[in-house]
Amino acid sequence: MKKHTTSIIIFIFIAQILVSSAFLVVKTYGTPIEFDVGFGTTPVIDGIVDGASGEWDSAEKLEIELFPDLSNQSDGLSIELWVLQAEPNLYILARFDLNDHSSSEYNNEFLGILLADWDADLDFTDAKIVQFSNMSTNAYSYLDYYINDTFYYEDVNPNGNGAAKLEGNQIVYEFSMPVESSEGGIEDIELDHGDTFNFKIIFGKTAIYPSGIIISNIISIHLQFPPGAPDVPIGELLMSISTIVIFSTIGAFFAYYVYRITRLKKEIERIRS
Amino acid sequence: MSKIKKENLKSGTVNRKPKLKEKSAHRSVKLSAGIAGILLIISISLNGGYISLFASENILLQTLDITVKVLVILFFFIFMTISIGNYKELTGKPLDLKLIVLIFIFSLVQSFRDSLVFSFSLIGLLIIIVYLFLIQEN
Repeated sequence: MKKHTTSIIIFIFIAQILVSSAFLVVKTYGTPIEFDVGFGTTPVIDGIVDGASGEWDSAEKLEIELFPDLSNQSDGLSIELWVLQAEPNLYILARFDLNDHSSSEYNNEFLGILLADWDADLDFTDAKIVQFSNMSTNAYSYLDYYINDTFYYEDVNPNGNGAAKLEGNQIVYEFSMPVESSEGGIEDIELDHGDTFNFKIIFGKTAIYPSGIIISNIISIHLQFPPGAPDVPIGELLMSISTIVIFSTIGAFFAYYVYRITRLKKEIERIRS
Repeated sequence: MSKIKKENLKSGTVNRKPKLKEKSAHRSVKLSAGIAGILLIISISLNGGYISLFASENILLQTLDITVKVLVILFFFIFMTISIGNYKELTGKPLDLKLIVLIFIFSLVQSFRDSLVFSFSLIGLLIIIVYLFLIQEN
């Protein structure tokens, strides 16, 4: 009896280890702010929010804070973040106020968006930056970089677009980046519908990357499929159906075998008689 | 008086041995099937893509991910073979090649979503089958 109990305990212990090991999902550093982005009308990337045309009306609007240290989220700069899709691009707007924003302190201000591939978690390898060279004359440039081991390299074939405009103390940064486009090659992250990507919003006052970044935050964006398009690509759909069919067959086989085990004693008696 | 007792005792021991063997084989059928069932659930979760063990591009974590998936499949094959082998022994029939091939296919097909897992599982399963074959020959 004692032996029987011990073997049951050992069995439960092994089962517990095996089952719990399956749930060791490595995402211990916290989940970024997540949101779903649908479709709207195409905005003009000029750093101006045109209220009359309602270009950003259908955007997902969010208020986030950028922090000097993401692990200790205090002393953040509050920014408005608007995101929308309009074929064939993803559009992101960031708007915020700073005291004495037109002073020389912010002459070389920049706001950038770092992208990580859908399966790369927080490994950001693509950067889209709007870099001011002179805030007072509104002189800026849009930069497309790829990141390799924390070093920023300018893309040979830059893609996307960016613009910014300061009005009073309020600044508006606007970005567009292509979705479902592989033209950027290995230098750019290929954004796809139906997947979730991590974006890091970075801000700084000196044109050096990454050491010039003073505050940042990470958001996670799920890119919805265009209206009318199938929610799942045909390849993925076939894979899902195959998975269900294959594992259901194995499961049915296993269930039948378990049923046969329950009848084993009767089977042995039948053979003996 | 004492002779009769000894004979009775001897014949009792002889009868009890096959019964004990049968009992342990029966227990092995159930236990191995139970473990194989747990491994099948884990395999469905991992190899079916419902749970990702390591969502990272780190080569070490990816290797670990593949290793866990392959090991789950290989152990599923081993425990299913043990369980069905004992089941067959209890019913007085041998574990034939047809059944081994069936378990082999059911184990290997679990890795169809990932070519690397598939390749390593195929190699692992073939090694196990060769090993079982050599043991049988000896």
